[in-house]
Amino acid sequence: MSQGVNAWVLNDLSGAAVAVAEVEMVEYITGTEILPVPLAPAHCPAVMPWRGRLLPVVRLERLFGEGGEEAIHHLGVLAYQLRPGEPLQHLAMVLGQAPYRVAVGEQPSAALPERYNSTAMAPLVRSVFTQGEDDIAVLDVGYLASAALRDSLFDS
Amino acid sequence: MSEIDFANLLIDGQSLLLPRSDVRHIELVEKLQPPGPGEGGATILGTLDHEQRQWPVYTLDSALLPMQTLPLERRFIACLGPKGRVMALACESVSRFQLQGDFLLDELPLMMKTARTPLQSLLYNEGRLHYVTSAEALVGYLLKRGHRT
Repeated sequence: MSQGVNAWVLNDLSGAAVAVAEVEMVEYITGTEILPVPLAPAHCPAVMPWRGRLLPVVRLERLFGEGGEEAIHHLGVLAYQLRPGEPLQHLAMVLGQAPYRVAVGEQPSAALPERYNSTAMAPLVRSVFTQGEDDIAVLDVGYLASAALRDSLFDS
Repeated sequence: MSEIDFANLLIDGQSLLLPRSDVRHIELVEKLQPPGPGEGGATILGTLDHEQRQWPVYTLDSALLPMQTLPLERRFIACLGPKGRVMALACESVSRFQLQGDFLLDELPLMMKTARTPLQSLLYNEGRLHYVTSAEALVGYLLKRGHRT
């Protein structure tokens, strides 16, 4: 992420924060219909109707073995492209609280947060910036939705 | 106007939609024959005689996992047949599912398309989610879970 731009900070249900580019955050939703899908991965257990589509609902904290069966009150709809030039797609990320916007100023890149320090999880991080005392990973939403992450988690 | 026409298998509250041509035969559960000694696997509940062959009969729970016993509510057996491989699924009902107009039909999201699921698409209508699959996908699913068909 370039310096001197805005980002949305999203907290998952474990309280851990990630960020996405301002243009990737499409809509903040409270109180909507969540539809569980049998045999779905733990980190993507349901879908949500949204603008004529069924969006995958992502519980980011479950990628790290965190989180339980907490009720869902906040969701962020995020836009991504799997490959440049392809149509925009969307997913819904479960949040622990409302997102907030920050200005990412000029600063040296921070170290990779510990939870992403693995072969499978490191590609989820585009960059890292420091906000106050916290190092916040900028999420690669396209990688989160990708077959590559899916296949690294499951035998396919 | 969009229109769909599926076979609907209802299993423990879950609605499976298959191409109608995938359902070869429907029988009452009373026709189920228990597996013989040494026959079957852990979740083959028995067999059904049809078209001069024995169809292994399974059922699924609400999580779509194979069960080892047959709940009383499963009153019907649907014989499902991709070419060459057959299986039968015990369910609460088998019916025709037709819709026109207002529904959402979406391919299963990429991040959900693991080898562990037979689901191919999702259909949303009037607040309810239905799971679109096929006989071939169900047979493949049970084979991957180590069950003979």
